[in-house]
Amino acid sequence: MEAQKEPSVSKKKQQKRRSLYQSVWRWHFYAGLIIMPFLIILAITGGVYLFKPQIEAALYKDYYEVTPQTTITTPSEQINTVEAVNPNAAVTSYRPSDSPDRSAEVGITEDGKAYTVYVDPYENVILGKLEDSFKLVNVFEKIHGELLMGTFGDRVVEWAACWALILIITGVYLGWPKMKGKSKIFGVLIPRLNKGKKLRARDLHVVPAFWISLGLLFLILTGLPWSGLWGNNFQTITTNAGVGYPPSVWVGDAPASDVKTKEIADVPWSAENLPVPISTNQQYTQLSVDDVVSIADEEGVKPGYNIMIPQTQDGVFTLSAFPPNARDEVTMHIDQYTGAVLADYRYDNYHTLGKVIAYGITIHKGTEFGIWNQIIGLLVLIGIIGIAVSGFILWLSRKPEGKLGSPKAPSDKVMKGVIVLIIILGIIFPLVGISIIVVWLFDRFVIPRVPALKRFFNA
Amino acid sequence: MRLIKFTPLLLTFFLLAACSADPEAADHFAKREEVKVNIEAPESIEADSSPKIDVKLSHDGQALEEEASVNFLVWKDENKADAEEIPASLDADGTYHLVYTFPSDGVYFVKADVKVDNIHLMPTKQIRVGELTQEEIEKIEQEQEQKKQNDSGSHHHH
Repeated sequence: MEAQKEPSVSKKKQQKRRSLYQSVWRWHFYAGLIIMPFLIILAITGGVYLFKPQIEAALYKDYYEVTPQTTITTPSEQINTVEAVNPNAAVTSYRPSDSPDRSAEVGITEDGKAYTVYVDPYENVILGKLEDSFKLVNVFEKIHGELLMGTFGDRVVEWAACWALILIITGVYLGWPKMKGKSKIFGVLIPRLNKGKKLRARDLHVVPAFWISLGLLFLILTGLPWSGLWGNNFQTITTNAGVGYPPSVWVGDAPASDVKTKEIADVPWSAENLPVPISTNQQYTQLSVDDVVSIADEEGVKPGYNIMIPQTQDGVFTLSAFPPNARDEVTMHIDQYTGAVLADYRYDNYHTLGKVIAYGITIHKGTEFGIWNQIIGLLVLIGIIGIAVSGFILWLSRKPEGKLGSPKAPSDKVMKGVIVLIIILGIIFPLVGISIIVVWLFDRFVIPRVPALKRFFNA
Repeated sequence: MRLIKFTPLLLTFFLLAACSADPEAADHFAKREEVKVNIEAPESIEADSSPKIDVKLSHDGQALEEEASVNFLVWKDENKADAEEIPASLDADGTYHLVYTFPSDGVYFVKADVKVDNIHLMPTKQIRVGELTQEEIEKIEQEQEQKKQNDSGSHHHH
């Protein structure tokens, strides 16, 4: 009896494993085919953004470089020059020169568009003016972050990044070595190039994917905190709980300037009762940018920061620096009337998770470890494009005519295990969850009812 | 399958639960000592008079006990470069005051440069002396109008 039972049990087990394998294959395939184009776009635009410092230094050489001289003009004199040339613009920011041969930058908005004006601080002359949204690297950054489609694009990128996680998880399961002993490193760690066309196509996808997926995983996990939906929620939760960034560095409000209401209250006047009793209406004036620069100096903030100029009566001067190294980050809020430092958040004031995210971001951007950071980033990006393309080729090489070529759909029972894992991801990443529900509804209710689709999906 | 039924519920919960920043979140992070400063001046000031202009410092709503270094800068209109520097006189009751005679009618600026420990405050108050010219009034009105516009125009940020 025992001997008779055994083969059927192990056969059943084998079948179950095969079915599970097929269901994972299907999800890997769905996800891969849909998000492959996005991954390629993200890799290419990210590759350009990675070299932002070098690209901008070359492109804007004439705007950046100045000849040091013995006398230098004050920030407010430079801002006055910019205002005189652009009388209808509002000055929104000032970035002091951060080395003797570098220009200062004045940010302005005019007709709802943001520009950067480059000023030679010695001669107090304008070197050039660029519209921010048309700066080359900014365009690539916009594609990378939101595909030039605003909030909708941001959600698409976030969704693609989350699905890439599903690709990695399902991919690891599919590529897991099935043979025992020494030979298992072949086909996972080392490709088999001379064992036939089919195996070669497989190994040229699986083997690089194994190596690259570590880098891809890092880029996804470090990129997600700055995404619009998941990232914002994540940042809000960690900030509110006091484990992440301080408020206003990423999410949350900056403190407000102390508006002494009596002083700035409107004079009740109308055209009939001029002259205005204006001498009784004394008020505080906004700090000059020169004062803000001297405060930055006293507080030990190294040049390379940007000063955001308050645009409302209770706004603050915000001094922020996000330099190449996470350690040097500064966000400081200064009362626009008194110069009081209302909040001073340096890297050391971030809580653990905030520090981790900060390092993640500078490594993601390729600035933390200099040129090697950029080179490794670039290699990972080339690898991502490689595995997307090789995955596509692998599918083509196996695909029968007129069908997608996915393995036959397994029963509901076997799919449960995989579904549970994917649902967990769907809960952590709501956009994945929503799209999973859509795919699942399609898989379950649409495909079985349409014979052509049923054939096509091999369901 | 039960899990699948609950997924939309859980998703909605996640989306609704986490969206707003807590205004008290700053309490979790390092804070700066806060000293408040106020320049107090009479509502109307005549030329050739020496009005009572005081600087009051407070900490947690109480007058600051520590001694501060307070210096005034006074200038007229846009002539900040020619500002007069006047050290504050310290009264017995702990207020710092400016001893200055405004020579003529017009728009003046009084800046108090205050240093206590490593806190540096530098408020500037606009002081109107005597009768203002039509031109000066218009300029002030224009600035106020500008501020009002900015305030109503940029509330949708963040």
